[in-house]
Amino acid sequence: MAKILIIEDDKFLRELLSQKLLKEGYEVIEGIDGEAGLKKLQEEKPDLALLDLILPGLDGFEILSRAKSNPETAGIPVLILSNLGQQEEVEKALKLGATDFLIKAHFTPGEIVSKIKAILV
Amino acid sequence: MRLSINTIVGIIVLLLVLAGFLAVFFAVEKEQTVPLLMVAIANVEAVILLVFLITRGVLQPLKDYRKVIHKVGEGDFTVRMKLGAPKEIREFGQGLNDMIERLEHAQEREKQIERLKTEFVSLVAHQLRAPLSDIKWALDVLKDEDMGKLSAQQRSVLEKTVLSNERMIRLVNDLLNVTRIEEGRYLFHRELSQITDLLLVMVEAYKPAAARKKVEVVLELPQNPPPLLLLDKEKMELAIQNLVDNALKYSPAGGRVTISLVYDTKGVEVKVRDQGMGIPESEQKRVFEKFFRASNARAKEPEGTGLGLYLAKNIVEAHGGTMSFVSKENEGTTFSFKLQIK
Repeated sequence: MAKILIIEDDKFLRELLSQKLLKEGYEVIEGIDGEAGLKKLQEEKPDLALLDLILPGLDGFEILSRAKSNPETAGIPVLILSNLGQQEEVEKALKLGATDFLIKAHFTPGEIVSKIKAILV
Repeated sequence: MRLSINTIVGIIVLLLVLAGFLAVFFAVEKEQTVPLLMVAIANVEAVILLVFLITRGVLQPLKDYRKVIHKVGEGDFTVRMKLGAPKEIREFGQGLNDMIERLEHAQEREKQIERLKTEFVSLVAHQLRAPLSDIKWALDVLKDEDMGKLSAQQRSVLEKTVLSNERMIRLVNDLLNVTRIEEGRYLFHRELSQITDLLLVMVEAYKPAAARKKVEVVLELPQNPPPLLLLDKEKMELAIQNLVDNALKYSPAGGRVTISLVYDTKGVEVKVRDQGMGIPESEQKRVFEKFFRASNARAKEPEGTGLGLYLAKNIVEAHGGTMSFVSKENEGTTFSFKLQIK
């Protein structure tokens, strides 16, 4: 089954998401801050990464641009999950190569799973 | 009859010149010819010069002051009186300058308070967003029974909580949008779009809510769609949503909400008509004010921020359009906006 990396510093949200993903049969790995997240991304090469933007250490934009500039990880789809959602931020993330930008308050974990399924078809 | 200072000065000059001539005339009579004539002319010239100087010294500064006072009257408190001679005029100008300065300070304080208010609302809204997302996610996981089966009672409570959560998220979004408008950070990204597509999708999305309220939602479109318009689709959708939300909210059961579109070569007009309670005439001029809600609307629906129409109007105007409404109490309201075809 596909391997999903969650890079999210909020433990509660991380747990809710992995609960949902595990139930859907995905393998879940977690990065609890910027550095750890980037490391997991490079070492574990997940099939897809869910990436928060505001993180301690490296922020989500930095992780995204490093992931996309490294040929080994450039192909991994990255879904941004953020409380931000200003047009500038959305555009910046998409320009850096994010697959989609989901504002946390607008998508439930169930809807996020649907997005993941559509990408990993 | 009121005479201006200029006229009075003119009359005085004339009288003085006349007096000069009379003096010369009598001098000639008494055969004291040339020297006295010279003296008389010199006198007249001195008087004219004196009048000229007084005019320059007093009237010119007063004219300048008038310009400054006019600007202050228009709300520009950055202007100051030029302080020249004579002393009386200078003191007068200084007094006015002190007053303008105090007004300027008051204006700055007011702007600062307004800015602080916007910053505060923005901060609170941002801080609320994260926990609201947490709650939304948690409710979703519970609702999907990922953490075990729910009893019917638990489900019913949970569903009401979901609605409250959604309402708070909408409120926070509205507040954030308002602060963005006020800070000039509400950015629009327009692309050529078909506005009827937007309306079709929206009406479809409103069907369940309308059915719950037993209100019929009707969409009236022309046979041929209008030309494409430059729209920020997401924001235009929000604007129309706010109009339809209101129409639904204040419609009685069995009522009808009609969304229609007409266009000609110049522009497109979208109307949202309801058969609801209407807006009391005495309150109609405040409808687009931020946080304003009509008294009958407040009485019927305590929930509501009074931001929807403010946002909608701002969005339409940012597209170069205009928004208006007609309303009659207990008969209904029609909101409409026009967008130009370029």
